[in-house]
Amino acid sequence: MKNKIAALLLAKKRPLQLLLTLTGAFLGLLIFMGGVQVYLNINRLIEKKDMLGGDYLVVSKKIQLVNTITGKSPSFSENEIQELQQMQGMESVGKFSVGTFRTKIEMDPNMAAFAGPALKSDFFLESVPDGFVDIEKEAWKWNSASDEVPVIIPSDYMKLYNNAFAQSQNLPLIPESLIKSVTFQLRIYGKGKEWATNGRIAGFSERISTILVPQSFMDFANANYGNAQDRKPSRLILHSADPTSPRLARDMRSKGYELNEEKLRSSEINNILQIVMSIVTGVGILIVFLAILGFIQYNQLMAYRSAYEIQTLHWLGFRVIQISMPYIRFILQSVSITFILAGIAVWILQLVLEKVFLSRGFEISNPSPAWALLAGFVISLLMAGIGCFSAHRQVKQLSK
Amino acid sequence: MKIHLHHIIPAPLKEQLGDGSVWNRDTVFEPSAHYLVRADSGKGKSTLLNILYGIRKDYTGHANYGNHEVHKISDDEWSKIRSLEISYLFQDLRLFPALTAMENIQLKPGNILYKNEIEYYADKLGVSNQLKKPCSKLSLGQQQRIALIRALSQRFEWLFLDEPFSHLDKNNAMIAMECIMERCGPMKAGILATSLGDQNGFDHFQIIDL
Repeated sequence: MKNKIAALLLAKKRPLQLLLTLTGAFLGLLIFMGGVQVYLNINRLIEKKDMLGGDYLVVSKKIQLVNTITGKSPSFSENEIQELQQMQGMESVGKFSVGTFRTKIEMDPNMAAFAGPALKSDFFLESVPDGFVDIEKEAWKWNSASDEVPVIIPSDYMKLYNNAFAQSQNLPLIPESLIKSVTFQLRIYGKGKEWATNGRIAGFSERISTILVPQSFMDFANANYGNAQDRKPSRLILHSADPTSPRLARDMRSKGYELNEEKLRSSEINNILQIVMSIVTGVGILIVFLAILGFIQYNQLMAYRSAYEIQTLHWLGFRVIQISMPYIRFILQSVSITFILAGIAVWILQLVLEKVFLSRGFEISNPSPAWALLAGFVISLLMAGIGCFSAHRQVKQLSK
Repeated sequence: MKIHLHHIIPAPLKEQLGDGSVWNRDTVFEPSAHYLVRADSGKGKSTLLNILYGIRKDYTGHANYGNHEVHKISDDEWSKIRSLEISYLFQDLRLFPALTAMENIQLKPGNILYKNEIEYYADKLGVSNQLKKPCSKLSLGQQQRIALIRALSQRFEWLFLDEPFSHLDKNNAMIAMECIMERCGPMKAGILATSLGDQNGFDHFQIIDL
């Protein structure tokens, strides 16, 4: 008998209209979920890339001929540092400490077998105050009892290796996640002594072209193996409220300082990209809402065409909910199918995106489209909810 | 359940109330009694039944079904009443043209007739061959008899019949009345019927002029 009622009420659905309406909903959901997905991918890329937070700047002095002759590198005096600290919008200023000992790095034997014997090299180390490093405290600490030193390397090194070196030497490409699990040996020479410890890559930075170690390690190594007294810093790290402001760049230039502007520009591009993706997602939401409206109208029309049946059923003694149930079931089915199809499409999109990103040397740390699907599910739920509610109300009105 | 009308005036008839005994009067329909409401077209016969069936609310005055004011009864409450207490043979029949005669009858909420009982009444009324046909293929007279069987298929305390024999000849009207009495008797149900003046078949009904 239930089927009879459903057949009576749904007899007047127009398949083509339904198809068009649901196609709209499908496209809206797809664009919305796709937008969320791409947005999250980009966000993850940015978040993961830089262990120094987004608002940090590195400033140094221009190297001039006189420095080459005297052999003294241009450094910042305490006064200059104070001056910088008092600039508008400046939140904190940190000094770079340079390791004044010789450092060699050697690949772990396991890794050497994998990447070839090439990775054995002289290195230099620097550090900045720990507060400037945007990494978990647990992962970025060292004391004399630790058996590993965490280091941050410029992400350019990875790119150089993966995009140029590995390909020219027929070596395997190494994704970031793999290199983070590899340890290497760090040998330190100075004051006639030699000391070896293990190193581990804790992260990458776009912002700083140097190899960073924790401040505590630097202090320890400099004190025990370093050959110089307290040196003035040649580079400073700044935390500014608005690092992209043109005024800041102008002030720095007028003092003869160099800023790592190009790196900033790339973070600006990232910001723009995020805005673009937000707009895409917004357009997706708009389309979804238009689709919801269309769907509601479709259902209302379908109910209108069955106004006689709805009224008669109610007059014969059927309850309103019994009459609206076929519509509710129909709406839930339609929305579910639309969501499932859009979900599959987004999943495929993610697989394609992953390939595209990988081929450009990016690795997406968490490629699951779960969040996009969840967002799409919430929107679908909303769509189903509004649809069912309006259908029920319509039936109630028509049954009078 | 007793039906009590107290100074009912339907909105469309406000200007042209006659001197009948229902509109703007105090009227009681006692349970188990049989009434024939008689009036010309346009005097509000269907309106009266529709008010008492809860599908018209544009009136002033009080209409009570038992202790309940009819316009205050909820939709769900009405569904219960319509499938258990009041059965209504609509003037416009209200069949579903796409469904067969049998499906139309069996669809009725509260239907308690077995298939063979339905066939018994169809046979009596001369429409047993039409049961498997879609209602759109039946003549008006056949449709009226199918709608009557549907109205009789449930349990009820009151049977509303709105010009029940309008499409039937005298003989078929007699048979239809026999079927009605056969169902109403055991249930001790009251009947509220309307007609355009003639009393054919309503011999023992209490006559009320609108």
